[in-house]
Amino acid sequence: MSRVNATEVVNSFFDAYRNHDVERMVDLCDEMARFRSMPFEVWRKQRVIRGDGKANTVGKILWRGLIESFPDLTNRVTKIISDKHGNIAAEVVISGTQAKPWSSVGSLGRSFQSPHLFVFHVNADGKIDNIRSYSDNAAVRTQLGCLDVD
Amino acid sequence: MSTRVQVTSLAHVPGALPDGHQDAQGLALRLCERLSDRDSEGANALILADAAIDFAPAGVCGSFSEEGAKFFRDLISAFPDLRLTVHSVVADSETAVIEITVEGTQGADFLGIHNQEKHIDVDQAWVITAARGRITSIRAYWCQTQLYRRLGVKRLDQISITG
Repeated sequence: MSRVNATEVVNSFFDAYRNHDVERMVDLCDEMARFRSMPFEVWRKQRVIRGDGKANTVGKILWRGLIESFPDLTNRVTKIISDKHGNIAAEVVISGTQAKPWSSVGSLGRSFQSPHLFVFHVNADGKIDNIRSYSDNAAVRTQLGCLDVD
Repeated sequence: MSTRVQVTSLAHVPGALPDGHQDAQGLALRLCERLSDRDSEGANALILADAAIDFAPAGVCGSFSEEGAKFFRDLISAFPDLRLTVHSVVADSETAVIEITVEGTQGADFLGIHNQEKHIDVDQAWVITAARGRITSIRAYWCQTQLYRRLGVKRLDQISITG
């Protein structure tokens, strides 16, 4: 697929995210698309739970959870880098105002703004088949008024 | 509000540019090698003094000469077995996005965190731009909570208290 089309797919993904259209986000992904949210990890006594799985399972749950907790959740794509192999890196600022608890963070009604870096791969069929995202949960938790590390 | 962004240049073969200078990808990989080799002078030589450094999770933002050089020096001295492993690169001639894991065992205080000889392994992504064979900016993404968790910090407002 051409590089421009791959970039369009990624822009459509963030358009759908901005419109809180999780089904459309998932439709833009291959059925077996991998998803990993790098900052997501929950340390239990016996194991660590990571935000690692498929876009249509783990990804869907995390995106829906964010949208539910932050009803005005939005994003702004600030830069896209791509190569001829369907790899896309997108710098995106995600922001929102908390209305409900999010993970272990109770709602104080505060807002956050968080720079993210997403790395996508778009396959020859024009479907996203891999998503990895990087961001700083410490900054988000601080903005939301939750100062515990866990 | 439009969210469409400019697409950077098309197909690019990494390595040396036609003018003989190293491109962003080459410089990014070389930077990781030099940091893993604990070669702060060699790392510094790849980066312009006025390069824009944005290591926001660590609260380090400014020019390389004022902020970045010290950050790399502190990182190298705090983690004597520091290792940067590159997992992927997305690049054109001016910008490289590298996904890396930064690993090491703490041997000295770092960013105000007391040394407890704990091990870190933190996945990161760095956006590196270059011009005329030198790095002109580095913007890094990682989760500082992961770093704190691994180094025993319990509260974001009391990072000097570890448990």
